[in-house]
Amino acid sequence: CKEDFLDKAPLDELSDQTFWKSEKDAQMALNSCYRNGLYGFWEVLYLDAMADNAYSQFAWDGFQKLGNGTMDAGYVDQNNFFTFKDIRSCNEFLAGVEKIQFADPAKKEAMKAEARFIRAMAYFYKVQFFGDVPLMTTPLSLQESNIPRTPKAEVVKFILDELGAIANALPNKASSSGKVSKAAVLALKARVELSEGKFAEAAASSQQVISMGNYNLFPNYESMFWMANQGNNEVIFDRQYMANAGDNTMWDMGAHLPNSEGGWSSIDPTQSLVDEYECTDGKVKELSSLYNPQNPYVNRDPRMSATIIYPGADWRGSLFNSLDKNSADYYNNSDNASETGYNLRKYMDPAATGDDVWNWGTNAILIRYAEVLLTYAEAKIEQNQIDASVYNAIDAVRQRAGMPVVDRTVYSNQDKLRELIRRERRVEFAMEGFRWFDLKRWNQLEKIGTPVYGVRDGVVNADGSVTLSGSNRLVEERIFATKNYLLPIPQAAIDISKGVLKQNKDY
Amino acid sequence: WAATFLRDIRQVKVTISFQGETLEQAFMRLSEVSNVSFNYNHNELRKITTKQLTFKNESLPQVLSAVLKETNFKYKEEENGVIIYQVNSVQEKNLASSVNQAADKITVKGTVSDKFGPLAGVSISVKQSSNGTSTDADGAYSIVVNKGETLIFSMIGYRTQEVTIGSQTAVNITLESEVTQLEEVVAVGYGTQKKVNLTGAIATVSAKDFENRPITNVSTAIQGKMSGVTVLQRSGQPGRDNGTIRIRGIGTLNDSSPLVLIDGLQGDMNTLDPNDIESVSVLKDAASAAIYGSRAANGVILITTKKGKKNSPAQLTYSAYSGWQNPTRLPQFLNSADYASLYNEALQNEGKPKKYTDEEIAKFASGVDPDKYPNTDWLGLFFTEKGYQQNHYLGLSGGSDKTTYSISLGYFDQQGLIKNSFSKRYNLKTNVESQVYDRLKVGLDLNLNRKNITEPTNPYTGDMSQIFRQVIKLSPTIPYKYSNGQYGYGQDGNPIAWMDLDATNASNYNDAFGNVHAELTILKGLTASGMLGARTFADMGSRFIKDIQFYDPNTGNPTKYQGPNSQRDYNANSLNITSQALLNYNGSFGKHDIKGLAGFSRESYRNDWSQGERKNFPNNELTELNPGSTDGQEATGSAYEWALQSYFGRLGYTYNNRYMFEANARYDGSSRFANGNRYGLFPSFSAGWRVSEEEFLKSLNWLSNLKLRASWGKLGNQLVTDASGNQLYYPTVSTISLGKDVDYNFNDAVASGGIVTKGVNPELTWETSTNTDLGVDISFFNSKLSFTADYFSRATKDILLDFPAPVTYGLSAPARNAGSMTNKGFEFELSHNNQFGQVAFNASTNFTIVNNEVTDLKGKGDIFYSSNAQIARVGVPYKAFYGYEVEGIFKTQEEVAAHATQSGVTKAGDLIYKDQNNDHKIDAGDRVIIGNSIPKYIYGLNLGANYKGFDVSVFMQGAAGHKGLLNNEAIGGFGDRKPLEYQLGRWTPENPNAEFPRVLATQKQNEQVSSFWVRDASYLRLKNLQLGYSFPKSITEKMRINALKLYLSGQNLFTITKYPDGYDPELPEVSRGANYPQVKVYTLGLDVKF
Repeated sequence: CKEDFLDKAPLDELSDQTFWKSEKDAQMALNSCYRNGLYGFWEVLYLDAMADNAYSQFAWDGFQKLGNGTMDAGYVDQNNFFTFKDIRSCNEFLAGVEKIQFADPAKKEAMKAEARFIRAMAYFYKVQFFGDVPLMTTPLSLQESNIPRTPKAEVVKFILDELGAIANALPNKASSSGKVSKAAVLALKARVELSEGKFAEAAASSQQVISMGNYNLFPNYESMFWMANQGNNEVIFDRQYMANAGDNTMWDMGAHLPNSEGGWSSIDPTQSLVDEYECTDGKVKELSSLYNPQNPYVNRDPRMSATIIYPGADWRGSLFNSLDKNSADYYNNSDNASETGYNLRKYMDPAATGDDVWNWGTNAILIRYAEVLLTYAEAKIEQNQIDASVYNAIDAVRQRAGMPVVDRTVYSNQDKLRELIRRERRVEFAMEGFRWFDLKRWNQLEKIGTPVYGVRDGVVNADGSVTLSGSNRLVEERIFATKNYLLPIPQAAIDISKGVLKQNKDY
Repeated sequence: WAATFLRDIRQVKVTISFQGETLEQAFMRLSEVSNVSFNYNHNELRKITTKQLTFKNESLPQVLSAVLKETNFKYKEEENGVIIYQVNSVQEKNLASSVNQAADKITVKGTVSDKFGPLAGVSISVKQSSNGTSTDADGAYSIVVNKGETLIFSMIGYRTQEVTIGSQTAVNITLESEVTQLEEVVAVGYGTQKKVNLTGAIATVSAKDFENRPITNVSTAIQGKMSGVTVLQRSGQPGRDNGTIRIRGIGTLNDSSPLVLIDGLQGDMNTLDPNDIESVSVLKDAASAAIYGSRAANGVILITTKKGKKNSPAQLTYSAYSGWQNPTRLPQFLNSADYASLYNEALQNEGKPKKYTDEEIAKFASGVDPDKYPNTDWLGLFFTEKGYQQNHYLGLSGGSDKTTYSISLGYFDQQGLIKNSFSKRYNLKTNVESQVYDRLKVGLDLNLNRKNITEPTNPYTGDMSQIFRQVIKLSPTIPYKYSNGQYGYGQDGNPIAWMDLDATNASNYNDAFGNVHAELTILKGLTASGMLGARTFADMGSRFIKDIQFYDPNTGNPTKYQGPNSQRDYNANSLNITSQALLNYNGSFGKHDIKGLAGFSRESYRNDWSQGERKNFPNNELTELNPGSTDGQEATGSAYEWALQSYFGRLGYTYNNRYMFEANARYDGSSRFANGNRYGLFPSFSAGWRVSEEEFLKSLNWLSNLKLRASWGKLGNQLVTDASGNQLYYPTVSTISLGKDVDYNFNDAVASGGIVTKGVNPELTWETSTNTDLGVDISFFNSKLSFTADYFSRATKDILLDFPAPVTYGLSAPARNAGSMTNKGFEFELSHNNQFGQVAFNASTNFTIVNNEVTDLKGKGDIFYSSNAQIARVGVPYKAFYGYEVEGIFKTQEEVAAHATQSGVTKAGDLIYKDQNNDHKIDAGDRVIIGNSIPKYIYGLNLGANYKGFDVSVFMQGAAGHKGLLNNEAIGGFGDRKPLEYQLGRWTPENPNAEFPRVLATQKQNEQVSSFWVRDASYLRLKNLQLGYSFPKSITEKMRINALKLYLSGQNLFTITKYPDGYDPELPEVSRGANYPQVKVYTLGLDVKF
């Protein structure tokens, strides 16, 4: 009998041998690098719960322990921070694409640059979380792949070299939204340089993006995050979503909307974040005459009401009420009510109604122009090169949000400007996943080892004002130890490596 | 002749078989066996050969009649022995003339039949003389006797009857079958064999075991009936109430399901009508199963369907029953007033303010304001149906001397305990076989089965189990409906509102299979046969989800929306083609019996599936795809294939009916493995010794049979699964993944992806299990009492395991041949039947001990299951429960302080976890093995008796030595739970010796997996109790029917268990209680034979 009776091959997958023939094959593999290599809403919206901006109320989401400091060596990496699937996909593409002859060699180089960018970005997050990480640039066999961690400095150098090498293979602004551009490469490079204390380089990289002139600030801070405005000129790079596309669909609105709308309130903004917003006079609340502790949500930086649903907020046609014991949004009435009394508003697109909130297509912005401006400003401030360009950059971001320009008399020196830029970053990028990384590079992660508080008791009045009394609700005790500047390597990964991977200090 | 002559040869019982030797040889052996002398003409008897005949403990006259039948020889008793003479001799004439001279001679005529119809070849002898005759093809006979003489009607396999002739000239006799255990023929791999000649371990049940029980499927029919076969019925849902079957423990970390063959084709026993089944054989050891090689490692179940019998008139059978169901056990939840006050206590236990005031609690209790202070009995609103079920079966079978046939129709309708849950099954079966030429027999078997399972859906998650979950989760303080008609709802919705939508998920299965087969006799004893079979299985699902809008009861504003509505159509179709060729030999040479089998088979399988889904229908009434919106519609589909190619053979040798040897082997090739690792050889060897046939035991009349058996062999398993239990069809082929999991999108348009995501291991090969079996079969007193015992050992190695790859590999881990596990144990079966006056009585019991142990994981380390509640660890049973050992409940805060630190919130009233490693803190390191999830003991007990037309039977079944874990909603609580009645017995400062820990609102420190929640799931269950009445012939004859029986039957009537109240011990081993409950069934049925 013929042996081929038993030769069966998958009917819905391509064989490794028959792939890597055409430019189309290369494009498919590159698409999968985007799919497997990028952070999305899971990270963008949840990462702030690792810091003092938000509280993750569901332990199974995997962020609660990262926020309250109780993660240990047995920590389960539910968020796949310590994964190399992303790196693998990019390395598979970069190895496979070499087998293909392109009609236009420049196109091949551009595609390779896209994959190298995705790989560099993925490595940057890993270095931030874990310090030393195994650096791999080619697809390794099962036997070859059990390798030790590469020193962080070496990985960072690799990232910066890569970003430097690929920038010129790409157009300033990508022809199609969602694709890697030269601006994205340089903006990421600036971000890496800033976090590594390479301030001159960070200023130069961000200046290059500013000088391109292809990007500007979107006029409306809140609606910038809505689907109707995706791909606007502020967006330098995003992780793209669309409705009805399975895991590529944004279902996160349902996960974060208030309980009264059938949402889960998964990530709840903290009192600490609410307190950070200046009053509309450009002064912090402690110094502003516009601030009323019994009715604290009026006269505040408009970015607060664009980011947070607070008691009395006008939300989808009615007043949000997390203070009334009989309200579905009262914390004690349901697991799906916010524990802090505040719900997430950023990205909660009013156009999404009914089931749309579980099936939406807004893109998750990973790099936007405001970051480039604030990175430029911070890099200059840290070098004490305080000039008009610094104020202009910060002013642009503030004015777009409806805030007055920086008071030059108050913020006149490096220390005061450092205080300002750090507050500015916190409120501008609140709930966009920046906070933990920012505190880390400012050596201020200790700040998150303090209790999380929510709203005070009180009532929501018919006009939307509130009358508060009592003290803030205690939501979670938190601890922080120096070792928490890095996450533990998941013990399971160490075990599988038979000890080739070593644990971070003190875990 | 050394043998002593016994005066009455009727009292001589012999056990002997003839395989076509000469009559001369036959009588020499018969003389040895019976100690009776025979006188005959050697030259004449040497010319004639016997047929293949086997006698078990038969009286000598019966043996002689049968041996001499169709020869011109007869026998006659004389003083010194038995004379064999030719009928045309002078002696016969003299004999006849002497009869003719008798005075009162009359001719008696009549027919002899059994319950199926007339019997041909029944021997009729006259007790007082050597006169005799036999029935013809129509069962008719005619004999001349003297008045006062006694006629003896006898036939192998039937109870002998005697009738004294007075003046009657017509005597019609119905013989009752008397199949003793030793004569029983059982199905074995590619053939049949007498049970007495088996050297392997095979358990069987026959149609009789299923009779008159309201069993809904075959898997539950065999529960408790056989040793070594563990069946647990996890659910009572109509259509999904089949049992999981494990033979001799759990043999692999992957799929442990046995191979099921229905008339030789791989099939699904749960689409069959149990009424169609003639017998079920379970091949438990390697000796019996190795002929199925690579698919036999978890045992093989051979199902034989009913066939027609030769020379029997058409027999029409109708049987039917109707029944009603009740849940066996349901959890008892607290009412809303108790809920509220206990919730207050739970909040205060966590240092939080009370939620309800005393006035509010009083309002819950009084029910004055059901809108604001309801007391909703969610379970009562849910379990509203009676579970009516009915079954109808119509069968027709019969046969001529050349052709047999059997046709049947079955219909089964089972309603559930909740709305929109039901199952229907339609069965049509036909078997025809005909001896078309002297040497050629051809046949056709055809089965057409359709089964429907319908269940409610919900707009939150789409499935049915979520409805069960919400029912046991949703607080009684939430109203089902407000007085204005609007629904109340919890954070996930309202399960009864969902039920009110009447949206369903219907699964329809069309299972059609059949084969044509032919057998050619090449030479005497040598046959060649071929079979071509096919099975096409269609799985068609249609799920509609209706949307629902909830409203604020005060303002009427829309609030929570669950939807959109959607329709999902699923279609899968598989085709399985089996072809097989066999060469079979049976021969006898004196005392040597030889049999041989050589075979070749090929099997190919292909499954194609597709699924389409649309959302946003104009309303909730149209449930076909077309009216749905094309926006967001989805289509998916794929296919997979596998193939097997096998060579196999068997060689058997028996010496003198005492010493039996058998060897089996199968050489199997599977498409699932890469060339080079594809083929595996699975051999087995076995031997049997019928000690009772030895001279030194032969004289013991009370000992009917004593046989020792031993076997050794290897079996394989080709079912590779991934970590979530899905079968892998191409585990060694490196591929580029395509589709949704690797696609991206730019500008709201899909950008198709393709990339390697799965690691593969081309070295992958078979799992192999090595099996040893030692057994003994004993029966006494003409087999009235019989006993079987087996020791078995099953060692599986190269278990396919998802071995984790280094994280840095970046691809999913490929399976490797890595694990090992053993199952060792004992099986016992004891049965007895007897007659006390007019009361016939039978009893049988079986008992099995299985010890499972994971013996090697090749350094992979512990594998966790069920959210770390279960573990696979070297040295302990597979999926043992793993958690904290509870030492009691803290009575005081001092005790908390003195004990190892558990958590920051531990207080008096919490569970005390044992500090196993004495490091003064309770953490993951203190978890230990806290119980077995695999039943260690299983047993069954059948008792039956009948008196005149009445019969009663009792069937009990149980399992012991295992535990179950209830968690989440099943153990009650607050927040996303509600409290159960047992929680009234919680710890409080006033009740410091409570059995249960204090109530808590959100803290979960007492809900860790621990010995407190892992509970003994042992049970003993009255599986069936049945009372029947068969109407006497005098009545049925008037009704012009052959037989009529009415019966009452109860299934699962009571259960003895220590498992927590409200939950069935047969639930899945880890359960949150959101399961369809097990059911009690009360039925009334009838059987009619025309």
